[in-house]
Amino acid sequence: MSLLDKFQQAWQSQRCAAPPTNADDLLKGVRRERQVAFWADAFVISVLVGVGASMSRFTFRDLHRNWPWMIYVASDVWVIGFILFNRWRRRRHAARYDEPLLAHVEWSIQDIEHRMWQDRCSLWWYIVPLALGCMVPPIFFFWMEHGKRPLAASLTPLLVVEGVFVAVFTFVHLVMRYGQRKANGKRRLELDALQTLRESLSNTEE
Amino acid sequence: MGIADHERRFRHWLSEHTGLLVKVVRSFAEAPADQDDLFQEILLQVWQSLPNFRDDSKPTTWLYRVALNTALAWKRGEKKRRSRHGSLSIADVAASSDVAAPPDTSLEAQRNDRIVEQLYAAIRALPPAKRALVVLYLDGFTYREIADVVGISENNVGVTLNRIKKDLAAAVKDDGQ
Repeated sequence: MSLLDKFQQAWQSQRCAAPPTNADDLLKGVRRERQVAFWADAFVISVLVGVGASMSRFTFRDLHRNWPWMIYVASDVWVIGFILFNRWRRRRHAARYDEPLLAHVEWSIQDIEHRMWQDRCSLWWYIVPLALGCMVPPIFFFWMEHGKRPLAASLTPLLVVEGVFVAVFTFVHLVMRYGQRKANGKRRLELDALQTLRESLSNTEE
Repeated sequence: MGIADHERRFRHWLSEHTGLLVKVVRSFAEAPADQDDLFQEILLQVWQSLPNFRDDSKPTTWLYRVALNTALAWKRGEKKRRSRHGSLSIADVAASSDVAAPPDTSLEAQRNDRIVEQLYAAIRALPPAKRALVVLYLDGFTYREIADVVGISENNVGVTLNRIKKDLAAAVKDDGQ
């Protein structure tokens, strides 16, 4: 018997195949993790749906006067749609763990590159639509009302409201950018590791 | 696959093939805490990937794919510390193993244990992609099956393994002397 045969024999006879007694706790933990992820998304979406629904209700009470708020509702629908689309896309295109190793690595690379691209786009896809939805209607209201009151009396509230929105959305953007920079640092490292792994799997004989 | 079938299959495989998972864990993680962490991660991925299982592949081949992919992902830094409370761990497996079968103290068994420990040490010193090949080879997979799990050509597997086998023989023999 060759040395390698002895290795195989020893390896295959090692004592580690006894069954654990129950898997209930693990399954509970997995279910809990899934529920947490689901409810986090459900919370964000329900807040957006709730705000969008009440704005629609308010708008339709006097559509002739309140129609500019439909711009907000449209931006709200856009963001909800975008979140749901991303959830669907991620589930559909997520790297599958039962793929061959090389295919899994390729999928993982694509997944990370997509997430990095998505982060770069968050300003245009999340923040700008919501900011426009909040900031454009007051301008329309100002335009519709101007001439009925002195300019200073109608311009001051507009500037205050727009200033608050600019401050809030700038803050949100900066916080998101900070989070993305931190995440992208890790992702870049992971991407490098994945690319090295792909190389070494493709040229394992080297 | 219904949720009941899903759970039944998961529990069945867990009782049948834990050894396979433990081998992968010990080949990729050395510290007991890391082993527990990786073991949890693999079980989680097995559970989540199970609905994708089609009967056209052997459960062991499928489990190896999931376990090795998870180990490679874990290795490159996506380490998530899972709470050990209420979860299965390597220690649990070892404990149940001790209950199920008293330790074999024969000289032959002790020699085997020593070889296995040296093999694990030698495997952990290899680059991650090569570890996967060696684990499959040691478990008796053919080159065709290894190529199928890893997704590279059979020829590539053969060339790579020939080189690794020599390194492995040298490392384990040297350590064993």
